Amino acid sequence: MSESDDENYVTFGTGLELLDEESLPRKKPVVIEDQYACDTQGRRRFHGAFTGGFSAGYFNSVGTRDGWRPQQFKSSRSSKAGSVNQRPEDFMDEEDTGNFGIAPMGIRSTSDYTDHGKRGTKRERFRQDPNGVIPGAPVLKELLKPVKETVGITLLRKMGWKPGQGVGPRITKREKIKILHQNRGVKVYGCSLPVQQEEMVANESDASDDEHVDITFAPDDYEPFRLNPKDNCFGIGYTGLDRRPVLSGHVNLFEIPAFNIQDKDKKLSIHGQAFGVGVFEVDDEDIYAKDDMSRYNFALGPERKTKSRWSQKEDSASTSQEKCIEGFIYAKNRLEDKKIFKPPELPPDFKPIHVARKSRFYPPIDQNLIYENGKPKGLARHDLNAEDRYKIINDNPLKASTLHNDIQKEIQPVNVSGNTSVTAKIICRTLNLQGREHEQEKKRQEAQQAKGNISWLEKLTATNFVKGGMVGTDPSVTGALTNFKVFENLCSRNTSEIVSSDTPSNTSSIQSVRPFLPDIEKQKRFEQYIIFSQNGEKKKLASIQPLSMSEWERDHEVVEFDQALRLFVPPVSTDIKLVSCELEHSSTATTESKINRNMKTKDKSKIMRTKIEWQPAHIVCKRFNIPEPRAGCAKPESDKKISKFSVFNCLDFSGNSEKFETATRMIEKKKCQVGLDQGRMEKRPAVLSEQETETHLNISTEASNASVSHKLRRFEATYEKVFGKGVQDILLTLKSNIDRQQPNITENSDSNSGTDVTGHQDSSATPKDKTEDKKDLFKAIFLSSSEDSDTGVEDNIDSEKVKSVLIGKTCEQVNLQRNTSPARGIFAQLDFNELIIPTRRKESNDNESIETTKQETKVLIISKSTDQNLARKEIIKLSEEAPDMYGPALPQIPPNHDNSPDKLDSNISQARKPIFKNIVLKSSVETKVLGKWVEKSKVKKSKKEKKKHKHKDKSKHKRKSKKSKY
Amino acid sequence: MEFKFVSSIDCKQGAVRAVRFSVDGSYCITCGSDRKLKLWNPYRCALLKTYGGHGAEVSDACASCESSQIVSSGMDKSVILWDVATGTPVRRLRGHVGPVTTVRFNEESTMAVSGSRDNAVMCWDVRSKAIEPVQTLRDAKDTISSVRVSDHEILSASFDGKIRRYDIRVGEVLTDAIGEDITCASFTRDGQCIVASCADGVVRLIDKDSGELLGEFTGHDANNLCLESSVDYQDTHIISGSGDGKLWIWELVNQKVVAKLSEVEDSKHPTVSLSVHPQKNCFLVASGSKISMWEAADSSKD
Repeated sequence: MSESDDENYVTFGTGLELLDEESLPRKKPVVIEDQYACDTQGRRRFHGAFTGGFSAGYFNSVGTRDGWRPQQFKSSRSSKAGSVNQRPEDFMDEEDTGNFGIAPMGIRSTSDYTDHGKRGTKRERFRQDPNGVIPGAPVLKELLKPVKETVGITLLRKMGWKPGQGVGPRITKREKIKILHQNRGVKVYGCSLPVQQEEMVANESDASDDEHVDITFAPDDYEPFRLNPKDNCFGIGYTGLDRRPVLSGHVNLFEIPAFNIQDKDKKLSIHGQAFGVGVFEVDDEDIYAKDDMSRYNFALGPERKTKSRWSQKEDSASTSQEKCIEGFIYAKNRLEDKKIFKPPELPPDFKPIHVARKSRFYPPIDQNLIYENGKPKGLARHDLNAEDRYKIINDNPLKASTLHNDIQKEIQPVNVSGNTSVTAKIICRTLNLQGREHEQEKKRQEAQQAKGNISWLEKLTATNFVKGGMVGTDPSVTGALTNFKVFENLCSRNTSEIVSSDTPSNTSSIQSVRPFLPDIEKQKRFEQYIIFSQNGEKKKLASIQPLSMSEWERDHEVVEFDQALRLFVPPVSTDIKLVSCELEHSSTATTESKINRNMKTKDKSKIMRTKIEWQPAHIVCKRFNIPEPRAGCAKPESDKKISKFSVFNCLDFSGNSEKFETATRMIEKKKCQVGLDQGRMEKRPAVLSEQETETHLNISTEASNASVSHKLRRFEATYEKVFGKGVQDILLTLKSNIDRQQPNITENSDSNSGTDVTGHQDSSATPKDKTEDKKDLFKAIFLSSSEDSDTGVEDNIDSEKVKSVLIGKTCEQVNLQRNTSPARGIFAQLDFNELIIPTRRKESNDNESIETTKQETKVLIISKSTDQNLARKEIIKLSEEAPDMYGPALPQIPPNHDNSPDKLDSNISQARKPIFKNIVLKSSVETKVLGKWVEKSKVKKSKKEKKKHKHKDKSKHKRKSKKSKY
Repeated sequence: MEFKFVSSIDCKQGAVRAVRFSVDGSYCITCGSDRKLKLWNPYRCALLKTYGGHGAEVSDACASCESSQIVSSGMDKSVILWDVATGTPVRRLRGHVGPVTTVRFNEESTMAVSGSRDNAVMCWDVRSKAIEPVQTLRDAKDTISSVRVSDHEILSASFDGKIRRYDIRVGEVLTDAIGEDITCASFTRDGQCIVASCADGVVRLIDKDSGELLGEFTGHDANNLCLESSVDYQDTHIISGSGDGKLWIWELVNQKVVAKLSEVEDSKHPTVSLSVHPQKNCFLVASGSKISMWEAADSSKD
């Protein structure tokens, strides 16, 4: 450091010595734990866990090792122990009585001076005052307690402050005034006032009092500023409506009665303001007026002009767009208004009554019923007003006419003004039924364009026009119309004119009917419709329907009007007399109908009865102890089949159609089968009787001759058809035979009259026709007889021969593989060619052919049920007589065939007879039996084995091949 | 003719759907909506037995001629054959696809005939162990409301407005179209007529053979209830239940109302079911949960 430096600087005080760095003791700051209080002897003053307790014990207080010791009691004659009073000091150290001890012994000021409060003073003991009114502690003392001043005030007091003064350094009067101004002046929130203003204030008070500059005053006290915590959500300074029970709280008699509301069994009175005064608002004129709830508008309605603060504000704001709350500007983009959509339009047939169905299984509720319940608009009492009623009651034609006149008046001016062609209008109407306004516009323009030259459109309209036949008739319409409305009105006017001229009374009465009163337009249309309908031009309604209506709505309206018309408008005729006549007539008609109704009700006494055949189940009959009705019928089978019931049967019958079909088919088969069996069973006694009669065959009864001859004639006819007239002579020869058979035939025909075929076969049957008969029986019973029945008849060869004769070939030629040896047993009667086709195998071994066929048939026969075996004998007999239903008639077999007189007649006849037989058989098989035969085979199919089936097919085939040979 | 109130039993089984005399008239069965059947001695008002086993309300029941069995039908679509003594179901016949509304034994109690809401009448052979109906009569087009069985006929009434009489002897069905829903059809005692309760509030008397309407008995309150009707023991009166809780009795010949019987003055429960004693003029009426017995006073004189 240079000297110049020293010169320049002034030093105050003494500078610290420069520290010698080596000798600098390492000073460690004493940690808090190590700082403890010590007594004068340097002993630790506080001990223990809390280090707050007093020192005691050897090291501290008493000074002995054992601590303090109780004073020993010593009393002797010389020195008597005096009464010892212990004092607190006895238990204290010397330090305690020192300046800073707990019981300083030095002189000091009392607590009154040292402290304003009663600090340090002991609690005052209660002084029991037994003389007082209230025993115990004095009540007043308890109640009134001296206010304790806070420490702050005590301090202030100490500093010289007195109550009522402000706090702060003492100031001059001038300053004081200045501050006063400041406080009283414009409230400034946030930033301080600009300097200018301050200056102004200062200048103001400058001249007032200069002389008291030296005197200082304590500053003024501030009004204490109280902060109320905000516990609601209202705006600042606003007290909302107080909603409390009427009788709660203080009842102020001078207050305007609160707004009382009944709310949920509780009476409420509402106090307070609904709207407060905002920050930016001017206060009300009448501050003392209490806003009452009764002044508020509780009903929606046209806005009443009320002079509320808000409305004022609004008005001012709206009048001057510029005017706006300070600091705010009008938004450039207005908020978009919320788009409010119209509620959906209800369909016209909507009825605002809902009747709930119980479930979806219940039948749909009749809409008409609902309509009735919901009281349709119409002639109901409340749907009509006085005028309507008047109109109904008083049929004054004048009224109606005036009405029409009104319409006319309306139309008249427009009528003249029109310029566009009427035709164009009609085009619009006819072509634009959809009712689109713009389309119509377009059309109109088109029409206007085409006005000069006749377009197709105009032609079209011309025809329409003619068809309409209405507009043209009125000369007034030849003028043009400007718009559709005029046209519409015109239409109405025309028609109304016509009608009113014709039947004034009618129209008036009709017009008084107003079923669509709520919809005036619709009612008008309806009235028009009535007029149209009277003129038979119902379709014109479309012309007056507004274009806004949809197609469907139009149609619907037409239907509605129709219904209404039927309901309200009686059939109208132009002539009043006629009307009256009609009325009479109708009245008579009604009476008639009434009578009819009565008759009907009387007719009700005759309950409709239907009778259907019904077959009770077998067991039902059995359980009821009733013989089964129609025991011969095959019905119960079917019943039983169906009686197996399942839910699916009920639910889905069509789905099961296939199954069902097969079932019925099966039933049919069954029926056939059963019928067959039963038929056979029934036949048995008949056959027996026939056998009996056989013995008396020679006695031919001539009584039934006629019927037989008839049959014969029929047969002849058919026969001729088949074979030509060449066989007539044979027939003649046959006649005698048949005559003999008569009784038998009639019997047969009686029993099997159902089939025509059998009748023919009956007639064709001859006593010699055993083979054919047997074959038929065989067919019928399906080879049911056992194979080893040996009651043979040896006609087989005969038949073979006959066949060969017929065909024109010998037996051998025709059938090489056939064993010519006579067949034995039951097979003797059978033509196996027709039943079973011998296989190729047979061709190889001719001789064994019959044996093989036999075996085959055996197989078949075995498969047959055995009950037929039992009746074998009878069947064989049957075979001799007749199979009842299928085959030809039971032939009359004379007991001794060969000895019959016919046989003896002539050889030719004998030879021819079999020929004839065979021919007849063939024909019958071809023409009629064929069908049956097939059916039977079908029936068999179900029972027989497949093997058999094959054979059948083959045999059929064979037969066909044979036929081809013819 | 005077009608005398005899006794009343609170069956305590919910609404009594049907009350039926036994064949000899000494007992009666009540079908409760609590799925139980109860056998009573109505003269002593004694409960004899309770039969439980139906899965839903019991709609109808019938006792066999020797009183050894009861057949009952239930809304659980089943017909149950009960053994009276043991109280156990002997057979449960499930064939109907809808709630069974009515059931009857035939005269010899060898066959039960049941009608159901599935429009079918089913004949069950009670003697056999077959679980399927012997015969099903599917002529009706709506719910079978009642079935009656005579010695050779089955009479079924249906809500399709037709009464069908199946004549087993002849083997035919006679269908009488009344035109109104028939809630009950029964034979008269002489078997010459049919008494049919119709839903239009008319009880009709129909000649069985000719199908002629012999009389109409009106006045009672049908109120869409499935009311039963019957003739009394001597075929002189028509008895019908009513919606007003009374038992209406008409003279059969002149069709005049003779009496309206009710135990209490105005019962809120309709009298839906009734049963006439087979040998005397005594009826049982079911109304609500109670059954009451009435007797014609001068029945002995007549």
